Amino acid sequence: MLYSKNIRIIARLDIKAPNLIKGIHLEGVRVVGDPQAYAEQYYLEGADELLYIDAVASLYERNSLVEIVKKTASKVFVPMTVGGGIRSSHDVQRLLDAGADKIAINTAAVKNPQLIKELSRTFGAQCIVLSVDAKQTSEKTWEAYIDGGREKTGVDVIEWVKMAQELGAGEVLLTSVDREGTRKGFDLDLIKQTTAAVDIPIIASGGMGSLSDFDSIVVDGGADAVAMAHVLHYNQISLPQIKEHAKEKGINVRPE
Amino acid sequence: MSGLNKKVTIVNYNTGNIYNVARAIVCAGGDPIITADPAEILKADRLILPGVGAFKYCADQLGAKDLISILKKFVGTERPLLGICVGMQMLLEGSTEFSYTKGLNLIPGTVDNIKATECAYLKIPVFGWYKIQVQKSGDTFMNLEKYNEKYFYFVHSYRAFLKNKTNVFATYHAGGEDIPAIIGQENVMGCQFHPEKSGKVGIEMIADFLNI
Repeated sequence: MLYSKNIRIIARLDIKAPNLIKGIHLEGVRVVGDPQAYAEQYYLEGADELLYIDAVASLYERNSLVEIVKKTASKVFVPMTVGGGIRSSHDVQRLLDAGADKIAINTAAVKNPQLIKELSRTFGAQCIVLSVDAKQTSEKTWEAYIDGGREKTGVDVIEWVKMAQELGAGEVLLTSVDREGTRKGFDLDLIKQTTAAVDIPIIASGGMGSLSDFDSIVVDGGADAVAMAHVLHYNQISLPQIKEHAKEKGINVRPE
Repeated sequence: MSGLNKKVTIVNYNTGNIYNVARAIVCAGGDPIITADPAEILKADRLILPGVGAFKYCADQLGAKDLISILKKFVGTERPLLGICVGMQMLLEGSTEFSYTKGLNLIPGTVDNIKATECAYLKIPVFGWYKIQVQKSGDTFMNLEKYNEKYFYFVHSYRAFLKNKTNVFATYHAGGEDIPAIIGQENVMGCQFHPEKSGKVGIEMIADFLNI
């Protein structure tokens, strides 16, 4: 094998309960269908992990997300990460009890970075994923966005992930706001800079359009995992296709 | 053999993703019973000891619920016990995480940091999908050969160091080391990975456990 690290292929499902949705540039939303049905299909097709992101993330809609997670957990037996509007240990515990294995936090962590430390201490670093929505501001810099990619923060992405690692985040989910939903490929520079800056695993998300995008983000970018949504939900590329392709390129992935 | 029922009791001691384990058991065709009650545990047809997080915390919780002697008594009945993740690690003599903590001492060996060996480039915790290599050693109460080279989901920073090779039923390769993935002795078995998170092959393994 050319490249010996085990790369995880993650099916990403953005939720506006009770629906699975898809957006472009993290706004402009289209309903795709029933999240559980898609989740189960991706699981059966070989997704290594599932990622549920609650796009609405309001306090009042939390129960619907918990229900979706619970129902999915009774059919899907690979690791599940859930994010969107998580603000406290209580939120985390509810989702873990419902069946989530990891949780992703963004807005609440930017507003109060110590939350990362608190959650990491309580639940373990491997349970805490820092979700970063990154928008390019200059050739080599990116700014972190919060609140579903709507609000700018002035926070430099690279500095932010370094701080989050120190505070105990176990992984980074890095979404390119510029590329998300476009299928024009991942932001390779963004990934490269981030993987160089921290030791914790990086999940690249946003922009997967073709099979060769997958290779470049892993081999050139150094990503540890690749999350994809658009191509899967619209049946443009299938999980078995990606796995077959990875095998041909000498990239280590779980076969089934 | 426990007969035709598919009941399996999961020890509930305030740690571990017991609901995920229970859901996986249901998917595998089993009947999960979650309990911390010593009497219930002692009469279980099969027992699962889950465990996630720090060894010391898990061991303390077991102690706090007076379950250590109960578990040892259960093992004495020769009915099957399966430890998962930290539940597997607790089958050993003890762990060096945060200073020495005693385990159940059912299988000779200790638990130490994965980095206690030379694998410098390995990121800790080790997590992700790894394929296991089933060893020819020992007699096991389950046919493990079919799981050779199959992928399972691991997440851990500490690993088992077994005194006897015959207690190592399967390993996985990471950081230049062969790390114990499945260990066992007589009616006791443990897996470092999470079968309830290892997809179809994990469910299959749980289904096999239900048949013992």
